[in-house]
Amino acid sequence: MKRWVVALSVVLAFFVLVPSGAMAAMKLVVGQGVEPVALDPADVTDNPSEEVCHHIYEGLIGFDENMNIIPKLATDWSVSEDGKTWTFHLKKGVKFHSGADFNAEAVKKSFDRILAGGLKRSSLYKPVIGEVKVVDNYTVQFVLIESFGPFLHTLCHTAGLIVDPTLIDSKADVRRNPSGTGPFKFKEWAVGDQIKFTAFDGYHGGKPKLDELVFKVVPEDASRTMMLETGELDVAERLSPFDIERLKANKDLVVEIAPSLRVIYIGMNCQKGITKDVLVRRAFNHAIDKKAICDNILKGMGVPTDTPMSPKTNGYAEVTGYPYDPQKAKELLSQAGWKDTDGDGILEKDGQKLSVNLMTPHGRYLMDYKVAEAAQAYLKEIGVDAKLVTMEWGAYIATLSKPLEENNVDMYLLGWSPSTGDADWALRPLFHSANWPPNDNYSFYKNPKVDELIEAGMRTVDTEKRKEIYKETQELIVEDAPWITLYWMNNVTGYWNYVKGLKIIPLEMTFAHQAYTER
Amino acid sequence: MTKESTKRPAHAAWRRLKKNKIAIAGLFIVILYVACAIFAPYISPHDPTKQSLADSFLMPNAEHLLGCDEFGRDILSRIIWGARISLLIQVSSVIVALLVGISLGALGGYYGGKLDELIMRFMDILLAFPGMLLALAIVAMLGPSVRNLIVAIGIYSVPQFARITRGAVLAISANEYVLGAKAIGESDLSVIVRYVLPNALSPIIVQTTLRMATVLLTASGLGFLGLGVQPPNPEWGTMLSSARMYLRSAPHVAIFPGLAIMITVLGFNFLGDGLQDALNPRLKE
Repeated sequence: MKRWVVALSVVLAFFVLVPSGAMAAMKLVVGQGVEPVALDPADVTDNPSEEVCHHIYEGLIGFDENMNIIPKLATDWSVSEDGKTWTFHLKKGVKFHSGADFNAEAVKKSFDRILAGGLKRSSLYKPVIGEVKVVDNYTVQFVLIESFGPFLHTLCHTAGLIVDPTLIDSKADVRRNPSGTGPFKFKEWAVGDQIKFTAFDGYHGGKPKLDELVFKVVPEDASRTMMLETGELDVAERLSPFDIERLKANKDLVVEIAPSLRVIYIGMNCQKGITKDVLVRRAFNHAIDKKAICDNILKGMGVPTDTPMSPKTNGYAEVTGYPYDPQKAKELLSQAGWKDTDGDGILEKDGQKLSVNLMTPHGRYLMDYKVAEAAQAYLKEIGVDAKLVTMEWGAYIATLSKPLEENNVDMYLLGWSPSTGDADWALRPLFHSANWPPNDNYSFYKNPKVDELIEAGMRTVDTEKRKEIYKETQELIVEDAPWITLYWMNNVTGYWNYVKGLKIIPLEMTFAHQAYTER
Repeated sequence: MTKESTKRPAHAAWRRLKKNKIAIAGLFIVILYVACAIFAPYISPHDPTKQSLADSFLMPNAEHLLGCDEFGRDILSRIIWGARISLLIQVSSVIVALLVGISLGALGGYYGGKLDELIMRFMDILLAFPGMLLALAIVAMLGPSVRNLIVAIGIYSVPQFARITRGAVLAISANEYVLGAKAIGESDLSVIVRYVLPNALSPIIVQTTLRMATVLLTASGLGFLGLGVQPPNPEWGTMLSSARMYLRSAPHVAIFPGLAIMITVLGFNFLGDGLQDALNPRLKE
């Protein structure tokens, strides 16, 4: 009898003690599809790393969920008449996780580290910033080499997050021992599994509501969805479009579909081969029913567009050019001299078949291969024989990067998300003729007027003027049709309805800065 | 052996086969399959590559008996045309394997000695690789296309035929009629072709039928891994592979090509087993 009493009281004590302990700690587990590479904001280029960095560090300014620029560590800023000197006033009383003070000296140290070179993102700032000057303890000046229109957007980039000066002084490995002014403090990284953070008590915006934040890597789409459904994850990123309907049926889950900056397109070689002819490129544009692809293959995760930028990108202009019209496409091809002379359904010209290769990655973007297959079938309808070629990602980019003489790619499917959120980074790398392969202008597009406009947009600081410049640029590009611009992508995040205060940024990142749970 | 079967062995074998209901079911499936392949253009209700995105994932209905796939293509038509591609791969690769395998096996078995050792050890090396892996490596090296698929599957099927032929040739070479033929001065080639091989036929026929099933599975497997027939051409394994991600939302897109593979492979296996019993009645006794 006595033993029973002891046993019962132990069990009771267990029930009383354990839940009270669990209730005290508010924890949030976020499921990522890909594991971060490192936690040094200036030395990473992958999205998952950047997302995690934004919880540890803060920049002078940043983006909100509509890609507006908002103050972070700077309270206000101004630019000189010539557009070359930017002055920032800093927030006072901010501490790093190490206890060090945040001030103008810390900003200079953080940027000098990047400008010294050797980091993956050094190339983002080195051609732009001449010098970072400490004016007084809480005023810092960026002296640019030349006036640079997208400077503020470039500063919002993950690479501009301020790294703790004590880390820099001690030459610690920032990639594995991060420290910043952000709301969450790095605790541990179990490689291949999860990264843990605890709330930073001394956060200048007040102690975060979450006690613990965990980023867990679950590469398999199906398992990530399943772990969300079982409650193992509170938040799951990048859900598969085919799980959405099922998840939406669950009233305890929230499925948030938010626009991203990523544009998916089929580029065409503008300098050689069959696609050199602008009539052919326009015909191909008319041949593909983007809306049907978005509705049926992407289940609404893509939104059709003709212009090479998504609406959330600064400088976007609504330019339309190529509605789905196979008849028009056939007319254009016949204008270009392509006729079906042997009756096999494929057009010919001077004894040459209208046969092109269509390269595509497999698994890099949502449904990429299926979209390429659909494009192949649409092209066949207008008498084009497109051969689908797929490669592993590294080999794919290497093939696209070959110089013009060795490059035999006719058409290629690719995506681009401008990480500064600005038109300059959406257009300059892809359409300026100085950026032919090995850089990113894989379609070998060249239009002197477009080059000129892109350069003007880069140098102009005035927002309205830039808008006009980029509108004209987009119109010219759509007219020249170096791409079949297909669609911009939505980003799908699922979470439990007890999770509040989550922010989904169009750069395909989820911010849990102000998140909390209400169970 | 009965008197009758010595006279007309093929007839007797057929009579034994007829009694085996499972083998006849297999034969029926195989005939249906071959008929689909041959008459695909006449019996397929739709163009197998015609895309109509508005019809994607259509459930089976009167117009599309087996429904439509993710591109709105008619699944029944794709399965019928898929039979054509599968049969082409099966027949060509088995022919490749037969020609090479029988020649090597007959040479080894008839001459023996060092040549036999050399050939059979090489076959052992080929056999040491898991079959699928070998075919995978060959396709990965040559690049994915129907021709390379046939070569790859052909090569990986060679050792089985070589072994079986060698075994049969070894057993038959010791017979008096072979010795007799040699004694009257027939050339080696003539002895092999006229006296040895015809008597080694039954195990080869059985092996060929069973091999057809394996080859179909391998071709589908390679297609599933993206190394087989390239889109938009319909091939069962490729169809199954691309339907896999819709298993929860539109299972019919995966189920029908899967069933096609399963039933056809079963058909060949039933027929092969039946043939084995029919051609080697002593095995059963």
